[in-house]
Amino acid sequence: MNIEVFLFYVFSSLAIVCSIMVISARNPVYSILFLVLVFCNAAGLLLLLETDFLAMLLLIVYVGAVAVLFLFVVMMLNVRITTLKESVLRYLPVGGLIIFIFFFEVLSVINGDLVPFFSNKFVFF
Amino acid sequence: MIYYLISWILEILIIVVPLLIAVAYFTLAERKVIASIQRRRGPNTVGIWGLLQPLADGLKLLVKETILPSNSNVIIFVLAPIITFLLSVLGWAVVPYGETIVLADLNVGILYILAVSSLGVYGVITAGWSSNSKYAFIGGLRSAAQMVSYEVSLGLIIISVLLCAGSLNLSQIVLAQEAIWFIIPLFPVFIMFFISALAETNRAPFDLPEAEAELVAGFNVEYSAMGFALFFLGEYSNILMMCALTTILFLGGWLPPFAFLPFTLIPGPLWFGLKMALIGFLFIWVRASYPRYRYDQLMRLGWKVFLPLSLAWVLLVAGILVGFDWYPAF
Repeated sequence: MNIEVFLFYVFSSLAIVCSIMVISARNPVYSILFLVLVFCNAAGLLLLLETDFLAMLLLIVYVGAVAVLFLFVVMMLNVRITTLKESVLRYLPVGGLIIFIFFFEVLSVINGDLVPFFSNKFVFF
Repeated sequence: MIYYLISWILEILIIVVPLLIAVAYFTLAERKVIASIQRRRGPNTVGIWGLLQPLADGLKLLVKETILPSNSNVIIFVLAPIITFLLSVLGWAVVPYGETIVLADLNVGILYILAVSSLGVYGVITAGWSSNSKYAFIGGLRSAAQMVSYEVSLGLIIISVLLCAGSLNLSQIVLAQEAIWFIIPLFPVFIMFFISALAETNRAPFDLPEAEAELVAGFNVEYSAMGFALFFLGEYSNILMMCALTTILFLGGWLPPFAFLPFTLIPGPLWFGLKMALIGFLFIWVRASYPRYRYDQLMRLGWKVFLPLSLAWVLLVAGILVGFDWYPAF
């Protein structure tokens, strides 16, 4: 396995882990710092695609400006670290339906052969 | 493969170790120059002319006790000086010291330096917040807001220079100054860049967020020993990085002032070092000469004076280049 494939797996797995931590961290400042890590990993993925300009722009604009803005706002709010009062499973039916729809869309785009009656006749605008 | 790794590590060390020595002796140079401006001596006890003073400072900071405040957020508290120092050294990877003497000859070199300095804001914010102290928090927020504000005008001024140079590659920007250094046609832009660099590195007269008398040293008040040493090293490394950027963008990098014989005997990297020393001296000189800006005056200067001026300069340079058809060759 060459270095680029290895780096792709590193960056994408770190991005997924950090984005899960964004929504599940208790402290909102931790959420934003994990979001910064997600952006940095996305910049790494862009570098692997050899679009160095886009990667640097992502760092400058998203990490350097947008996330700093979020960090300022969150730090100045007096947020108490709340515990979840309701369980996450409450959202399972509708959330599960939406996840299934997204999954179906991704599959039908990636592999036209899987759903045969979409492969030639479907028109994307 | 192993040869490649060893040569790579050696290249990095050749840049980082002299950088750290330069940062240490820059602190001594600052104290001596400020002392001369104030008609006194400065440190002259520790070595001949005080030359071992940075070693004494380093030793003191090394053996001092590291304090972790009990109410602070320990992980981020420890990470903040690490991030600051790491980013301040990372920017040096793209600096060209000579004709082909550069660690990473990126085609987006300028954007890399801007990205690294944008990331440097995080070290300051997280240090101020994680200390869980009102003074540190306010100092950190003020310092970060100041850095972000002056990065805007810094970016626009860099665009003015890039219009004349024609490439984002730092070596190409230096080579574009073979005819004439950019400080001569773009002299007002150089002045604005220098002042924005002073404000970006939290340096006097824009050092309200970290002045000792104002906010009890601002965002690094809770840090002792190694944390403070890392912040200190990071700040001075940022200053040297701004000096290097100024010489690359305006003073012609490693190029000699005139291309004929007595000047070309001095090698390129030595010219680079001399020009950096000149700009560094200018940084120290300004520190000793001017009173401090109040914070609202400082922010007003960044947004209401430098931003419109640098934007106007971008339009002027672009208009002249398009009007006379003097596009740079790239």
